[in-house]
Amino acid sequence: MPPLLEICGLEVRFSVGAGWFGAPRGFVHAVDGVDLHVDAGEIVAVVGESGCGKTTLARSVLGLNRPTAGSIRFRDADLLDSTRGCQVRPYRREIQMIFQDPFDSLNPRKTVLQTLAQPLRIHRVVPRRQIRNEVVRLLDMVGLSPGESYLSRYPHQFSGGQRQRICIARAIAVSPSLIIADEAVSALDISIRAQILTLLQKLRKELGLSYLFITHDLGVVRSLCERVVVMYLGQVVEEGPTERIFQRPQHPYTIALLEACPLADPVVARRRTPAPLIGDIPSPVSPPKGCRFHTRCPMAQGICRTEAPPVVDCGNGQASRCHFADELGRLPPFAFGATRSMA
Amino acid sequence: MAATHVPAEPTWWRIFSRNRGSVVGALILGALFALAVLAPIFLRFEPSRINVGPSMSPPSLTHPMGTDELGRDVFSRATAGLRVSLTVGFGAATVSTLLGVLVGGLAGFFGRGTDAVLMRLTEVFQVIPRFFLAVLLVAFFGASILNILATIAVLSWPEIARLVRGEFLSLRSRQFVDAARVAGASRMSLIFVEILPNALGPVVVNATLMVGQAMLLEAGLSYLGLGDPTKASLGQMLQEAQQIMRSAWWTTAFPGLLIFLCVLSLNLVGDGLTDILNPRSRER
Amino acid sequence: MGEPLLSARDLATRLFTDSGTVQAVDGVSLNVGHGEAVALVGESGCGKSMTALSLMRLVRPPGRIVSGEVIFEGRNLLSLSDREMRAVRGGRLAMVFQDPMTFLNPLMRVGEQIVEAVLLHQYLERGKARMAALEALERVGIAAAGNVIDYFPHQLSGGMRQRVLIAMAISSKPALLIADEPTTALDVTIQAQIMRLLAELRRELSTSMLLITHDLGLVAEYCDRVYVMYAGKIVEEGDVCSIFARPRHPYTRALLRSTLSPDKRVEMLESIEGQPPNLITPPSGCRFHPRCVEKLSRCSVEPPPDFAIAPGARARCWLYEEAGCAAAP
Repeated sequence: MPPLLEICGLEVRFSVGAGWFGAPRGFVHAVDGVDLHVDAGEIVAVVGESGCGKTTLARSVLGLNRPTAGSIRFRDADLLDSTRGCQVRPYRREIQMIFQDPFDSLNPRKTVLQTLAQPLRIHRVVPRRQIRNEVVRLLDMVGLSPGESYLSRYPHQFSGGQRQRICIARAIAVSPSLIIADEAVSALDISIRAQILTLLQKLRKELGLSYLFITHDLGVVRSLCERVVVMYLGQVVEEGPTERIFQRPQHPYTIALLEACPLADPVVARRRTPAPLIGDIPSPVSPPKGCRFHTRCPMAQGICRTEAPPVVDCGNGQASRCHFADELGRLPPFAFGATRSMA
Repeated sequence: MAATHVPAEPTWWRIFSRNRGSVVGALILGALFALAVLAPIFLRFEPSRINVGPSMSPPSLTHPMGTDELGRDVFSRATAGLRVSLTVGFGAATVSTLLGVLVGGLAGFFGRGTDAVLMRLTEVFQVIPRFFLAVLLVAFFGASILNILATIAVLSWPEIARLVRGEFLSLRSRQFVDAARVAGASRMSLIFVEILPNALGPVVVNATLMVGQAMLLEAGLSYLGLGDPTKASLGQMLQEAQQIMRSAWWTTAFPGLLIFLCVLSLNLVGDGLTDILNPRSRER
Repeated sequence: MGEPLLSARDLATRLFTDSGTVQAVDGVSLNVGHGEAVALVGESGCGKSMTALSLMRLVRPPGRIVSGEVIFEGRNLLSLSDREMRAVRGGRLAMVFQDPMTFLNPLMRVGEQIVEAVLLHQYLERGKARMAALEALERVGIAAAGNVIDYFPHQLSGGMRQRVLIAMAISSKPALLIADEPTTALDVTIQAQIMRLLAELRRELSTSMLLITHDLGLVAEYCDRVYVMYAGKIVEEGDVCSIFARPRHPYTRALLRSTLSPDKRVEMLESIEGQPPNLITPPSGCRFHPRCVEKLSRCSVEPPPDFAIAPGARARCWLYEEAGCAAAP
């Protein structure tokens, strides 16, 4: 079975700055050689910090920007095949997105009915006269019942959680196979977050959806996602099944994320004595030579400064882009709050 | 999940009436409109008929605004002139807004090449001295009301175009536009259905102010003698009354007052419109 | 133990809006001791930011502090004159907010802004003030402080800007630092750096901290005591370990149950039904009762007082009345 979504060697480059006559002064390789796949029915997490390229990656899959190299295949059809004109269009029904900011991703001047009717109309999901009923059905499905009462309201009359439900309704309106959720719950309160995640799980079961879940919240990743892809400065630095990544991380950046992420357990959290990463995240305009992480890596060696690390297969579906992946694999399992030396 | 209590959405009138100035402005504007539209029904004197009363007579019961040196009733002339001024004002504002929205919208949405070309075009029109261009166009095409209207529209659209372009530039990267794209909306749909309604706020406000500006511009042109001689506007009346200003103050005061009230009320209404069209004010 | 450094008693702040009066902060009492790190935790709309603004008398219309007192180093801040308050704010009482960009003047070099902050509270000549600014930048871990001191805010990253804010805040060696979501806008590794920096500085200067946040992980790692806030009221108080191990108030319990922590996988996600209440017309009785799974019939009628359960542990819930706890005023 080919994967539902398969991304190979994707590169997305943006021009930066304006030199003479508007010619660009430099380039940002927002996404620089990314391989990623999502199988049918899976929830895959993409984790990383600013500048790692996860949002650019998502936008490429949705056709919101043009990659400069690489391929994106959906059900084995090439989305970027330039000989086929506006090729992303047929796949708009299959791939949908839930955006980060529930306050910004709804048009403030459109009612709920107008917003949800749009994809139904464009893709002719149901005949015109049944659009209203269908919208009500979608609203009920995402927990906004009775749907009728919400139809003529505007976005500013809803809370953040409710708006995100409307966005989810919009995404599932066309019965997609894959939904990309870009920090879909980050802007929500903790108690609402759990409601939305539960809804996403329920919809997965009922509608057979797959998710590409972009987030920085490792707590959500652990409980919701089956596989994790860790990105740094435009590249995938580690990927693998969730439990393996959390128990046997084999890249220093993954370990740093695990050490730095907030932990709601005072006893364990206070036992941590990690060395937080030094320095800021480098600018994606001029990424460091050799291994991109070497400027902040606590175990960087000479080779890291000069040679880009290969992708090391660590077995069991896990892979790491580090010269010392094997050494890290031989360390005892990761436990929060245990002192570890990475030198 | 229970439907939550949603505070009652403030109506348009509620928001508008928060600003007392706007309400006053709206009332004045309403009165002026009523005057311009309804007066001909019960006007006793024809605007251009001479010698309907003693010439140069001050305001009285038969002639509420007095008569001018040709014995014409100033009140009748003023209401006719008001109609002309309002027509030119609103007409020019409408045309220039439509032009400006089109140019600015396309420039702001597509960016790069299209933007560069359209903005250079806009700049050309902005740089030409207004009166000079007006004189040129009127001399070329004649001084009818329509030409005056067109001239003023041509002079005014660049301002709206820049405004709209700015709004589009900032709106096109908003997430709801991306969401519509992902939902499958075409580019035309994105421009007109998604972005434009959100960009209109400042545009409508600017357009109301532009009506006042257009009226003043028209008054200025008439004052310079470039107006339509057959349909006297308020500015025209001012020009004609220059000579007799000192002895017959009513011949300049009333037309001037009407122009003043128009522009003032439009500005006040524009303030109120800002509040209505700003979605944030509904949250108060 | 002695007197607490900061003691707020029955603080109430209301917002007088067109749609009605919002009871944003409704009878909040909290203490911060010397050298302590205290967390004020809650979700959006609970009133925690408004509480912070009230403590510093930064509430703007349509908001107004309507009652209560805030005793800081022996003086009631609410009864000081504007001038006296300005001397305290930024001096002994410093603050760090969430978005550095709105707090920093984009047209002024960073060093100048720190110098300005220094000169407001200390009598120094310019040259010495600039030295102090340089020192402050170095202390907050900015390498090449000599260069950074002349940068404009937009030339710095988010983490650096936040460090600049912290430098401004500690330049006058404050007794209390109020930090309102200081790291929410930052990446997780930068967040860890900033929080550790704050912890170090606190130790060095013996500064207390009031951390306002919604992130329970930060509370667990960096704070000694916690106040949990809901709908304008403090619903639970206690030291960090007890609150996490034995949460007492149903809201705290529900909040902890719906938190996803990276150290374990949760099969069944739990959440709190419903929405936070409308503070113009809050629910009768206990404000949490419509969403509470442990409610009694009394809860919808009478608002519970604050019950003392153990030394330093209180909960505003009728469940604790029977335990024979004395109701605190």
